[in-house]
Amino acid sequence: MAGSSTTLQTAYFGSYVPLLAIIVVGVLLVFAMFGGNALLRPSHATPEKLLTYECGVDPVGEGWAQTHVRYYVYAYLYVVFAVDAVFLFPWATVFAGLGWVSVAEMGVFIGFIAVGLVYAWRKGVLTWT
Amino acid sequence: MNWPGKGLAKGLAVTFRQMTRRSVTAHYPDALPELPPRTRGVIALIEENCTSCMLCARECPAWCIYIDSHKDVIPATTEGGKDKTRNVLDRFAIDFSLCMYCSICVEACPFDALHWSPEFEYAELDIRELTHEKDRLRDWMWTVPAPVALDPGAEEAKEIGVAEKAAERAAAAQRVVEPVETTTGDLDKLDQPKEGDT
Amino acid sequence: MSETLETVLRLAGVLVAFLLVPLLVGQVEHKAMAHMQGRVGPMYAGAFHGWAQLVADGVKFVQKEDVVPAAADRMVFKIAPAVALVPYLVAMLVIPIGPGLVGQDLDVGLFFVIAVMGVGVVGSLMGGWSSANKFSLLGGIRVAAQLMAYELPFVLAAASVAMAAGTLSLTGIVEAWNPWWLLWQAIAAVVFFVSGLAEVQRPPFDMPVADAEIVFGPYTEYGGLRFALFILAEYAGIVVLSALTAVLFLGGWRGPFEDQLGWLWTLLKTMAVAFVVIWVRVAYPRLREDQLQRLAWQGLVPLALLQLAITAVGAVMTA
Repeated sequence: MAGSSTTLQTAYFGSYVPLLAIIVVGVLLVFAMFGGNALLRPSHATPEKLLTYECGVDPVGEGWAQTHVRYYVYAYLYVVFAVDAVFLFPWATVFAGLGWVSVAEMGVFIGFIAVGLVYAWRKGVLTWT
Repeated sequence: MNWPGKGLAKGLAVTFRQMTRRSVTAHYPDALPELPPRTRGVIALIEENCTSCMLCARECPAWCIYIDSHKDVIPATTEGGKDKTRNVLDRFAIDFSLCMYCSICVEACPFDALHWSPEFEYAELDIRELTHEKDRLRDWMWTVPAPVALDPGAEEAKEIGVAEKAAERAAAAQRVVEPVETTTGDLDKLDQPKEGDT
Repeated sequence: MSETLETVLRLAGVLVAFLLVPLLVGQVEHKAMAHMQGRVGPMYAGAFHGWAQLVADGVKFVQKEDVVPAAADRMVFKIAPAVALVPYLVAMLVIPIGPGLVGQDLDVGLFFVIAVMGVGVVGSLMGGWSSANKFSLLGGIRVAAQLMAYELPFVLAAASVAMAAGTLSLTGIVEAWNPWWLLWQAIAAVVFFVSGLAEVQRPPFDMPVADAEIVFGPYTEYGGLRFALFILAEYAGIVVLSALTAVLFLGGWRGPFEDQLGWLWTLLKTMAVAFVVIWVRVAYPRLREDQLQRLAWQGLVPLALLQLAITAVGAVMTA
């Protein structure tokens, strides 16, 4: 690690090579499984078999339907908090050395969002209607 | 005492305790089940008792009993007598893929031709094989257990009462007949029993 | 060259673990759940107490017909099981089981694992959407709804550990681990485990698959090998979740004789957590989706935030 920036980079990205390799291995594994499956399986497709399952009767209407999305408020809350959580991680590794000031700053940051959560809670958006 | 999570802990405790106990599984193919008497496994037929009266087939809610029969003529035994007819069973089949094991046919049979057998291992790969013809139904008869003993103090079966009355009547008739014989033959003996003994 | 060989060996080790440990967990589930319900579970495959039941299942699945419903979005339908499965293989790569015994130690390992586990959910979503089936669609929507609930407490609980250890490397976290973390990080451990259960869609949070109400949710239309891949993904998910819980909160390979038997400690702790996953499945009924939302947003998130505060104070005081 004590070398020039190029060796540092190769060492850094080098640790991601096995990662790419394991993804390739995973994809190959899936292909191998389906290869074996293709050699062994029967194939007797009938229109009835390929029909959408609906408890045994012929399907009514389309499979894709409109539904009432009841949790989009959660989705908003989630997006807000998830972005916050991403900021939390790099801070988490260094904050102990920075001391109370850093903790207070993060406390204010999370506090704002927590107040938002409390507000949403009080407003009743956390109850499923 | 109530504390938060008590119900959750209780759920875990119950399942864990159950895990440490012996399971209640019946190891069926390895250990045969102990079936209760009068188990409804398969219906057996005594062909000899059947008069093709069709009562069972008509009572069957699932219409799963098939009976074919024809009439045989028995020529008159006496001169100028009338010829008699007799039902002969050609086919008796029960389709066990339709049967719902309601036991109505067994109850309905007036001649005790149908019986329950506890045998239940007659699964087939082809549904048509589940229609048991009369030979097969007759064979099941060998597996029918003897009737279960009555409970202590239970009312006796009607047949026994009828048979006993018949036997008593027969015995009484004999007693009526016997004195007549003795009075005509050995009237003196009644007066002198000691002589008769020696 | 030897470095390449070592990498290959590590990858092979991860692959073997990926193919074996989920089956082990599945078998434990078969038997433990059966006995918790007064049954005996599989008894025949492999002659001794059905130990080879899942191998037999695999042999069966690989011979089954590959049915793609006529109405389905073929391409998406076909690759969904792979999308659900492969991320767990990738996640296993970075989870250490002993000092130096890790597929690849990443210095952002914790972040990476959480990110990759999130990808697996996309597989379920794809399956739910592409099946063109009402049950599948409902299941897919439930998957999405569930994601809103568990992901945040999951991430916050993990962040708490990162704060305590001062590193994102999973190996570094285990090295920084102290037995008193069991107390210090107790809330985070519970939050992490509960939201992890929701992540891998295990009872009592199996609303997306809920076989009794929406048949099998996103997997309704799946059969044969593709279905098997989804199920394998579920069990791989349990393994990853249990291993992560063991590594983050239970000290991974730390224990007596950790230099020699470290890997055994990790494995034992992982299996213990996996057993709890199974145990919880038997003990509790399924929640409703909105109950999970309430549990997460009014219970787990505030608890996780509280834990963050506790961790921050503790870490600065001891620093």
